[in-house]
Amino acid sequence: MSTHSYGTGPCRPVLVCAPLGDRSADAVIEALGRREVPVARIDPGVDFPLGSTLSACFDPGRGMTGVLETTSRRVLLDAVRAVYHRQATDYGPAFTHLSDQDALFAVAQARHGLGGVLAALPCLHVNHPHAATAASYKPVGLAAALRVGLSVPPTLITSDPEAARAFAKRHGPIVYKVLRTVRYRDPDDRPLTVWTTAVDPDDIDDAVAGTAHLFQARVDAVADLRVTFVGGRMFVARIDSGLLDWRSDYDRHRYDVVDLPEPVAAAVTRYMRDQRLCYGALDLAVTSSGEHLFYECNPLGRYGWIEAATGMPISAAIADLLRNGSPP
Amino acid sequence: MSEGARSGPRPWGLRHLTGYGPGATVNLPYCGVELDPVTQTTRYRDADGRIVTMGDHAKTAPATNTMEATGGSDGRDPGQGGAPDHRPVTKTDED
Repeated sequence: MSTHSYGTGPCRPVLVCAPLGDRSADAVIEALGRREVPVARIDPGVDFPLGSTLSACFDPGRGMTGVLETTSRRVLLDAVRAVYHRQATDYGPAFTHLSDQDALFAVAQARHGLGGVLAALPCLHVNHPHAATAASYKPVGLAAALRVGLSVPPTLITSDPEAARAFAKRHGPIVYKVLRTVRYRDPDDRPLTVWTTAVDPDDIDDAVAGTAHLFQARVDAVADLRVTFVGGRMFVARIDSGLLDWRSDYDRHRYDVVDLPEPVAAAVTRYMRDQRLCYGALDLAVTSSGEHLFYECNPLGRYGWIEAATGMPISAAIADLLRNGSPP
Repeated sequence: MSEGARSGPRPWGLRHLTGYGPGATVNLPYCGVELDPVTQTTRYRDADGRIVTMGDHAKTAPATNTMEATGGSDGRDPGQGGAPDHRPVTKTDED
């Protein structure tokens, strides 16, 4: 198989870090192809070091230079136009042939070696992985939202049952949300999850001390909004579902493409700048009085389903952002 | 700190674990994936090794659908999980 080699000039490639089978990555790669932008794809946690080779040099005057070579592409590091980080596999699967201790060593070296070189590439990152990691912490997002002037429902993160009871008394009705989605399987290997759940104050007990819990005042929402932010463009869908957590049943959704009120859009833009994100999937609620409340921004949020349901050209917008190589 | 036994309640939030519900698990129409070296997109193959056309991005699973591969996952796990495993693929959005 031939190896395409990319240098500088108009052939500068976009590097896509994504697992195989990621339909959104495929859609963006196809859109880049239609724009005649070369692409090199790698899933670092799977493809390194067996399916790829890295050499990066650090010299005075030249900065970081070197080569990342996959089975089908040869990429000069200083020629990379932009990097699209699309839920790449975490480091680990490439080292299952090693003993536990040896694998820990190899994984750490790979994450900080290849992962570090990718993070150091001086180009547009959608999103930069460090910014995405930081922004994926809900408390970080809530604090940033307040800082930029977005409205946030009263929220408590606690391991203190007494604090949870007092919060329920003051702000009830309240809901419980997980701070982080995790993989959980029942004894029959079926995946389980926790949706946003209404909380009966009488059910709050000492088990709240078992770890951190997030409680929030239940919003009197008439609809939810999913805002997909791409380099300053906002694709806004209103979701009417009648559900406390719209993720629990997609069959009950009705979508309408809408616009954000200008002050809310401006605050969202400030939020994204504050969090150093150029892509994000934001969840907001609209109350009966027309107020917009911020729930969270997922820097890795999927968008394929909402693009399909509404026709909003999100893949194309991401491709344009990557082609231009800098936020507009 | 010593590695003495720890005690404490099972976290309250775990009481609210629930299944994804009917319709959330879809059987993927392919068994294996590989990189198309020319386009850099994913090439999908069925159990007999034939290339499967996946059609439009429009058929992408919603944000929190779980997706169970029909024939194992050839060790690839596109989610955000930590330890590698060879169980069926489950994709969950980060909400």
